[in-house]
Amino acid sequence: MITLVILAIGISAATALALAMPRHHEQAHGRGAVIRRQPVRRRLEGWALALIAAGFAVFTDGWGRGLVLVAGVAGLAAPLAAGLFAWRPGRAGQVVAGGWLVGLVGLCLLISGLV
Amino acid sequence: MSWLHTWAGLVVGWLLFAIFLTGTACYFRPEISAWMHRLAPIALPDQPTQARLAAAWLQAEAPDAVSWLIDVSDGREPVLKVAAGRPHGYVAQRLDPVTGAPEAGPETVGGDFLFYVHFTLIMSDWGRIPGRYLVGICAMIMGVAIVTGVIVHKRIFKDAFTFRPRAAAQRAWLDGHNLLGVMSLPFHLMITWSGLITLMLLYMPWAVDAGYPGARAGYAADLDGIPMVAAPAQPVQPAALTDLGRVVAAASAAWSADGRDILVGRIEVDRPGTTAARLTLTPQDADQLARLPEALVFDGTTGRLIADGRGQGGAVAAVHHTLYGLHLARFAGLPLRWLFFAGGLAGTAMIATGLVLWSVKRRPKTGAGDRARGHRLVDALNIGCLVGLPAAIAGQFLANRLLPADLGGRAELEPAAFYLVWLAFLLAGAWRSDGVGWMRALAAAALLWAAVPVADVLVTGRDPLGALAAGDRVFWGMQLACLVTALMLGRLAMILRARGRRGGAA
Repeated sequence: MITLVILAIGISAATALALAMPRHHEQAHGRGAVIRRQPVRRRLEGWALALIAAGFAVFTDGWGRGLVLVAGVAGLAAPLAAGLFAWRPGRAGQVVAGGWLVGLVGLCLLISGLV
Repeated sequence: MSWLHTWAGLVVGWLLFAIFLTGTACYFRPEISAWMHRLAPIALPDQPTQARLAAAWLQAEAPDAVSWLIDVSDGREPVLKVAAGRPHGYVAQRLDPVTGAPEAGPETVGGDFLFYVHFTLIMSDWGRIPGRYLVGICAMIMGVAIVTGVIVHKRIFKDAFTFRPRAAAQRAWLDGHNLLGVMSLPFHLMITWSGLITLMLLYMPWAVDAGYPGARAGYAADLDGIPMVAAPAQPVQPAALTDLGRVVAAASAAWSADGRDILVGRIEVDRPGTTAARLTLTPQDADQLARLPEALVFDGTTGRLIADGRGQGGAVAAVHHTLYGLHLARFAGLPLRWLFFAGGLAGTAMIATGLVLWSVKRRPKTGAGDRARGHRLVDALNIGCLVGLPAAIAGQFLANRLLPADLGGRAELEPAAFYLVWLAFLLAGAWRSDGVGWMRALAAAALLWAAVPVADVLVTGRDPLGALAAGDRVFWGMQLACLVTALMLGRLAMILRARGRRGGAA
């Protein structure tokens, strides 16, 4: 369960990092879309989400298994994000927003002690 | 560097594909074994009871043995494995953990076949050592291919999320190859290196031989943290073995003292039935990253703890055990195990895309008919291995379900089915290796995979909905895995058919 939460946040982190790159920003928003401050914001967003996912992993599984989990999620999330840009680039923004939502839900679950 | 990457990858690519594919399947070896042995999920008796049942069977069947080996069930595969080493031979048996009687199901090789193919390529006694050397050479070349691949692919971060499936064939395959290679790079590096570590004593024994001139036993003792014991000085007398159940409970309690819940994995009994009997208990490796040396040694007649291996191994031993543990991933719970499985599939797909890319890059503009002889050979082997090996695994599963249950030598026929299906696909690839050949091979493989769940239900007569209600994870896992594989292979075949109609090629 928590692994799926971590995977979901990881995918949105990868998507946010991709959106910070001009090529993928164009894919998502069309050529010539406004990219004012977008790269920096998206990059910060991506790394923040990645840190949150890693934090969840280490918090629930400890340093040993948690870091293995982070590496595994990273290896799966990035190709999935690339697939998203290849087939459904319009959804990229929503995926990033969804990552924050899942992170919030995961945090609530952790605090309430359900996972 | 690019030259080295291309040719190193091509020469051993097909063997690496076989190693990665079977290794990936081995993350679910206990489940595959349970499926092939047709074990239904049961409520396992507690470990002391299991140990007593195993000891009772061994006492009756092999009282004269020099050593016994008991693998208590870890819950993933509901079976009790016992083995006895005699001066004149070796006997192994799978017991029902509830009754203690030998398992009733039809003879089968279980998940062990894929496991042995993974690191020996051949499941026969004469081929094991050469097979291991071959796999080791492949793994070293894999290491070379990974390092050169990173250097060749300079734009790692710029192209991190780039995948253009609708671009020209060469571009699309290269994107896929890079994406799978770069993003799972930690996994690929870890699995290749730790794979070499598992057999390092075979590949590079010199340092250990120089450091331990006496024998390997001293090295093993240092690695496991258990001191060596000299052979008993006074002549041994017959003596009854202590109650294994009590020892198992004591060991489990000792490991779980710090709040973890650690169960016993393996019990080794040296010189059973004598005054010199010794019990070595090792914990299940399901709970920890490193396969830490935590063995406990008990006296076989009194049941007294005589050696404690916990915390004895040094930092070097810990590194070794961590790498070993990472390779086997037995520490991983179900979600993490699926991630390892995905990583293994990514590695398998990376090798496959690399091999296809070699061919796509060199395709003559005038059509598949104008390929050079070497190019045809690569294409034929690509079909024979990249499609043939997955199909061969399905062939082995099908043989397990379709061969008559009381057939003699059944366990040897399942690997035979594997090799026959593989051979058939190699021949099909040699016969026709263009787009149509790919399409037909993929369609045949998809049909084989789709036949597995059907044969499973028809032969075992298990009610799928009843299995769902009973929470039979192994049954449903295999059904879904086979169906998903069949759908993916079928989809690839359909894509190729559509391209063929439009006049393009793979």
